[in-house]
Amino acid sequence: MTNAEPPAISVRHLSHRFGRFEVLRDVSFDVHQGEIFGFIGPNGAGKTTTIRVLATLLEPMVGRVKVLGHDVTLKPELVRRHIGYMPDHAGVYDRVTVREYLEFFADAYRVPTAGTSYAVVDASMELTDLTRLSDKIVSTMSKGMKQRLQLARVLLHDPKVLILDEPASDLDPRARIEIRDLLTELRAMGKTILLSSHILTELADVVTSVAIMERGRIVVSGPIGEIAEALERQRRGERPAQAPYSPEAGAPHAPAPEVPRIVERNVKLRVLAPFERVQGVLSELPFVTSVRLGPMATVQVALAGDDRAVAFMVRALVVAELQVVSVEPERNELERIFLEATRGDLQ
Amino acid sequence: MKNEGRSELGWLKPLLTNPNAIWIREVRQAARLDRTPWLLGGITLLLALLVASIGGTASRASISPAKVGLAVNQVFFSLAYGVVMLVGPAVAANTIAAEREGRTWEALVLTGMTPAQIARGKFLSSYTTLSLYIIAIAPIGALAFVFGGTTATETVVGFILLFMLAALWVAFGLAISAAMTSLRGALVLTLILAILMGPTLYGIFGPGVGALAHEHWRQIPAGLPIWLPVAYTRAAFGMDYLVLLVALPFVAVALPAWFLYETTVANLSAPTDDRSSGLKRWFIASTLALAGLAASIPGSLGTGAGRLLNPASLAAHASLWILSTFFGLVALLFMSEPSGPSRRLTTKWETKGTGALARSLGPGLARTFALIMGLETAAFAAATGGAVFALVAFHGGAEVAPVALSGAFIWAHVLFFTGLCAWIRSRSDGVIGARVIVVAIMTALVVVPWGFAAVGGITTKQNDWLALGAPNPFYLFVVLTQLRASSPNQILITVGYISILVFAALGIFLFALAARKAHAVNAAARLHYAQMDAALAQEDSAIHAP
Repeated sequence: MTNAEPPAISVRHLSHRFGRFEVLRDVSFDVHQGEIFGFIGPNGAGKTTTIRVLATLLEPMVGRVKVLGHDVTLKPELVRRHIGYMPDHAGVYDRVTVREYLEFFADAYRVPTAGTSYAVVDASMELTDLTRLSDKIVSTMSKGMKQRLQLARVLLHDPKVLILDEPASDLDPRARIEIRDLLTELRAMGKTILLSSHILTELADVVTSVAIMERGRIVVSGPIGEIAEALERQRRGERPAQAPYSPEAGAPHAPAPEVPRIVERNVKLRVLAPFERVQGVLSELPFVTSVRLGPMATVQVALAGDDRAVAFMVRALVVAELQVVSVEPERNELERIFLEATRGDLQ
Repeated sequence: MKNEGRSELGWLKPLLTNPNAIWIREVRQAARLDRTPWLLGGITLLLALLVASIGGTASRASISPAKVGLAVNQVFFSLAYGVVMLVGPAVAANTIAAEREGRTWEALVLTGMTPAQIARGKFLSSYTTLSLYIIAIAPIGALAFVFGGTTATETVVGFILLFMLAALWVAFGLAISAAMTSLRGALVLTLILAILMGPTLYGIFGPGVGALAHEHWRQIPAGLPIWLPVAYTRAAFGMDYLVLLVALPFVAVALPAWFLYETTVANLSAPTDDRSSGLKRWFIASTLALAGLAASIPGSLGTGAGRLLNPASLAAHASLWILSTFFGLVALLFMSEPSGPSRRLTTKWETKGTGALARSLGPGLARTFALIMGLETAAFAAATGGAVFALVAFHGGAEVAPVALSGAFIWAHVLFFTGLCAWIRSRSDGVIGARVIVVAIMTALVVVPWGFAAVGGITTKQNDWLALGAPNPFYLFVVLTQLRASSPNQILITVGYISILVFAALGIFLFALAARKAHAVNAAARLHYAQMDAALAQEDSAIHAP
């Protein structure tokens, strides 16, 4: 990913209303080529509306949205050629097999074929591991398999940008993992992927950048590391040198999240020692506010401080000759960012 | 779709080697539907039993076999029409609404298939299914040959007409389906409309027009509901044959079919796409056809050989009222026009280098209603002129004044109605609400003045009060009565002439107001986009500044 390249998706000051209800308010973010971009927000935040604008299905009232340099308002046909859009809860046709379904869309996309051979359909089925189900009637397939089929469909015309609205919703854990692996594979193939979700664990392992949306606004956007750093600086009371996403990086400012100066964080420890001993050591540390026994013999520590406080705590345990097996945040980075950046009130 | 070039098969080549993807997929789906053979078998059996029992019952009475054969033929085609009328819309109503309800629509749209391609695919698949039904019941039609009284040509023509009507009913179902998002809603609405319209149209164009055809060509037996196939083989050939049996039926099928197709395509297109051009092309062609027919029919009827009292005058009045109904519906239809073309469409036009003529057919309230008013004026002038010519040529100039007055009066009221539609639309955001307001105003114009006129007339026992009814379009009949009277009431006639001037002027005035408002809205939109583009460009340069 290089920011010198024009962004694959550029959303600038996008606003939209349904009647009098303002569903999007000055939404701006960029998705760079080759990224897996997580579009996060609670239900009703405006994710699907933004995605429908990106997919040319809804014309924006205000603002400019470009996909690979093509304006979605002015050149929808060109945009459609370059995107693969998988809507939330997309349906499938009754009484057609997987192969027939994909052949139909290959025809509809006017994908070049040689005679009766649909090489692109075979390739798509292989990539999504559907070859063995090619003669199965699609309506009888499981949700996970239907999602795979949808992914196979959007790949038929070899789009450069994939827009996936809640791709793993309603899926069982195995199917979610499989979809996640597939997304990583697609990224490796050079696709830019924007996927929305309100389930953070679904995205945590795959996304490279995020935009968090709440009440029709982007509250923060950019690479996860940069956002985390910015939040950390704010926690320390420092004025950030630059917002998580800067004009120099090729995108307009997203408003910096308002966070409390000191945020209490929870850390999960596994220590090979009795709980009482661990508690005794940690209770003496001034920044530790509580120590309690968690499930699976873990110790849950609440502390007011940054990463340096965590490091100091580990050193104290080691000095006390306690064997520390693991230290991990109670929430992953993405969840933490989300909680700190949003206010939690739904529209 | 296989990418092969055209060869000796010409225009058939794409259809055979590059068939519409939706058509192929839906036929495949239909073939796997378990209930299809049972439905086909059930309907065929039921129809066979009905026709056979009617034939059997009739043959036991003292009726000649030829008459029984003709009756069996008529019953078969009437029942077949019933099947087409119910199955066609029901099958078609399923198609597009099912895509929307089944959440497959967006995926389909994003493939790049145009609304026209989708509409054609949906039409072909529904028509193929309906054709299966017609083919399945076709052998029952041969029962009539057991008795005689009908020819093979008449039966073949009957089937050709049946297939044409099937296309119309499928197109009707599709047009409804294209506007609906709920499958059940589409199915219920389509069937309700089909059940209401089907028998009505059968009654009008079957026995109704059949009776008129019998009046004109005695060779056609009276009272036949399926009279057109018989008319083709038995009517004497001449100008009236060409106009009434070839041109008129062609127009009667082609124009509604074209309209339904364009409506379907428009409803499948995004609101900011060009939903107007197709419908306007249909409108122009329909106006030309209807005005041409209205101008030529009074002349083609000749003197009428004493069968009808001045057939040219009757045909002229009927044509003028049909034209007014047509233009009234067109004005209501085009109330869905936006103030102007969208930014997306304007850019498309600029990219493609679309000419001024093609752009003039695009969306836009002012240009659309200007076109409607212009064509209304031309059509009424042609229809009235044609009728006047026929009256002078074949009837010694009788009825010229009433026909000319009718032409002017109806034209003025239609012009007013069109201007009113444009004005109301320009002042409102919603289309349905605007249409309701127009209908309410017209209802008030019909009812209120007439009520005052009636009350005044009854109270004072004077005809002059009828002049208060002048805002009512049906005031024309008052004026016509006075024109034909031995001692006409000049006040009523003069008020009629004044109402022509007033309503025409009002129509043009309302249109002018609507056009001004639409121009203002378009100018504001252009300014908004220009300001937005400037702000974005400024931000772009700030971002890319070294």
